[in-house]
Amino acid sequence: MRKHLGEAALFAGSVIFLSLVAFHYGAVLSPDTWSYSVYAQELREGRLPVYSHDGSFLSTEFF
Amino acid sequence: MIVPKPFQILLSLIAPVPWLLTFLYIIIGSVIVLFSSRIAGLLHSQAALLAPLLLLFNNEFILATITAGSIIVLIGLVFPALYYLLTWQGGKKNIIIVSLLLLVAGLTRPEAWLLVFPVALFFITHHPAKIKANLLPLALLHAASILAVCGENT
Repeated sequence: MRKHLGEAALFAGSVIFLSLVAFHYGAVLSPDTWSYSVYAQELREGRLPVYSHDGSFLSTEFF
Repeated sequence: MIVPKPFQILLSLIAPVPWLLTFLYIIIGSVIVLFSSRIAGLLHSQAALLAPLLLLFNNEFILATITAGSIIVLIGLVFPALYYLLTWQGGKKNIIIVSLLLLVAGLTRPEAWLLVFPVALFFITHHPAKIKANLLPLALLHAASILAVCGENT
């Protein structure tokens, strides 16, 4: 029981700590910092992005 | 070589919702912290307190978490798999759990499927009764495996 309480406290503490850090650096409020926002932008424009293995943009008309 | 990245495109569907994607990754990052404590606790009771602190004050871990890096999902599945592997007491339950976790981890980054080989070697060569004696070298083996396949990000 005590072990489970400790783990629950650790989990909740991690969520709170990481949320504070994310809020401090603005990651919550500005989607520009998200890795996947570029995919969302392409999907909003009705295109499916295709990237090469090094992350460079290849084409939107492959599919 | 063309990489379609199916998991990332799936995740981008919730990206237009403000703060939801970041919060999802914070939850997964906390799962990583929790299971790092559990895995370290198998080795030493005081390490269970030290491991989460080392993770939570690591720049790379925080950066990957709050920018929704795909490595967070990968490790968030590999760490539970490693925990259920090391607590294997015989039987099929843990083998199925570990296999499913590694299968889903392979959908985030294909190199996660390479971990199937040391895991299969573990289940084949180690008797459950001798796991405690082999715990430290096996943990080092898995850390080396993860470093070998994900080392470009460290």
